[in-house]
Amino acid sequence: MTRDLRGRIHDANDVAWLVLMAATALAWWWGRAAQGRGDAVRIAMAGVVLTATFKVGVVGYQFMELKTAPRWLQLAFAAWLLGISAALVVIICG
Amino acid sequence: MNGRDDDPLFRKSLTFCGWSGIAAVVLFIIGGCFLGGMLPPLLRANDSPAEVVRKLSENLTAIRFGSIFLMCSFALFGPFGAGIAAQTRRAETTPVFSYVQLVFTSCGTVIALLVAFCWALMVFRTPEYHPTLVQFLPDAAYFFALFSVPCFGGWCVMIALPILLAEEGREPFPRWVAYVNLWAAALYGPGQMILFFKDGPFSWHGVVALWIPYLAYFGWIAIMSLVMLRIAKPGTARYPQPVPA
Amino acid sequence: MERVAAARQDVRPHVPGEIGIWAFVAGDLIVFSVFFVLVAIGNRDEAEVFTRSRASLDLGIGVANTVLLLSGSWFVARGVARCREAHDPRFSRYFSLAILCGLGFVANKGFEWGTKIAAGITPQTNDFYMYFFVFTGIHLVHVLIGIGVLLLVRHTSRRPVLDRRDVRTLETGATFWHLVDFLWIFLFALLYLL
Repeated sequence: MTRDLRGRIHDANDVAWLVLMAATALAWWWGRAAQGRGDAVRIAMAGVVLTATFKVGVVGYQFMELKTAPRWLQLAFAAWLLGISAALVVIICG
Repeated sequence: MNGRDDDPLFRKSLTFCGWSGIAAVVLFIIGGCFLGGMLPPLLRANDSPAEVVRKLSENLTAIRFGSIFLMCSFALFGPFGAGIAAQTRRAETTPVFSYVQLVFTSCGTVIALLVAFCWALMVFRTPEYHPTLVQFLPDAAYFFALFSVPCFGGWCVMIALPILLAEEGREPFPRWVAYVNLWAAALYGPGQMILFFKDGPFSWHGVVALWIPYLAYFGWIAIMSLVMLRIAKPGTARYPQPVPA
Repeated sequence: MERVAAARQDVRPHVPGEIGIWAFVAGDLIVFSVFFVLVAIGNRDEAEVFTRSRASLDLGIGVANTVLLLSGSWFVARGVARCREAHDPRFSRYFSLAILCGLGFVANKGFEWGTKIAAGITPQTNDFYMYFFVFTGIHLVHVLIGIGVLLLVRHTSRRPVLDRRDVRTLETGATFWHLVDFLWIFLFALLYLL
């Protein structure tokens, strides 16, 4: 594994960052769609929340090193993430 | 050598301090929750003065007795805080943070007493005082209690710091206690916002600025009291060696 | 004093940092979850007000802030991984970069608030802006504390050799920073994008 500080992709953290940037762009796109009218708005709003959920999952799993954490911690984090995500989707779109 | 057998008085003293905290929580539940209308709040920040007078007049006796319970509860913050400081002192060779904690304990206790004073004054001469004067008293009480984040939050930080800064194995309390204190301080934070809102979740009757700090504060007292009681029990592993003065 | 190589023994699961910081994270998440739900309820009950007010937010600033925090987290994650695997005090550079990201966020937020307040929009304007200012404000306090924590992490990473406690400090500080980051991810989604 190289140790240079220039931005060449060489480990999982770098991949995670790229994925997060893409997800942010996706979220931005959903956000613009959510400004429209009609039922598509609901789907767009759900999309916004789910994209955020995905991003938080990546941050937790990779950056916060939950992938090498004990099972109970992984499960607790996942439980919170899915719980808040579901709650938000239900409130916003329901 | 473990000093606990040399110092049975410390064990008993710390037990007393721990129970003071528990008693403070119980007395608050009686005086503030059931009788006094402090939590859940009987009054609202956007009630008119006449409305405030009306609500109080309907509950004068209950609130009067409640404020006595509140006074007893808040006075016990003193021994509660001093106990934490005493245990912190055990881990210090030269006392610093134990002193700092005593200062914050004193400030917090005095502020809390002011809350109880206002609560009692609020129902002392309710019909005779000008209504806006009556309205001022719960405003003052909640401001004393909630707008004092640097004092109460600071108190928590002063408990956390000597734990996190201590050498391994020489902490006055387990490290998780430090994090609970930092979390409590964070939860008091929204109380500072009551200055800007008279309605909604951030007003002094609101979910975020009243409920969260109050629940966090009394939950914190309960946790710290139980921690003190556990440390004071003979045979507990968590009991730092006494340091030569 | 164990060297970093010893810390690499943790091929088995280990709690990043220490359990206390995760207890703090859990506690903070409980409170912020209440915040998120409040915004969501407001979005449902006052859809008209929220949509209108949200349209006056500068999405570019929001995206910029998101990118800044995500990048800050990236630098922090890299820094911690590097320091843990084969420590070199020069890796403190990663934390310096993360601190710059944090400062950029603060400056950006200050600019954004400044323009809003100059335009006469305050927390009292309507419910959307009440939530906007208060929740981004509370988050901003977290960012400021996070920058302080990163300064401590950077200071620690500058030591020539890291022992087990230093690695714990790095991981604990990093965990707090990542918390700040992912709280913003949800706030950004709820306040700017919906």
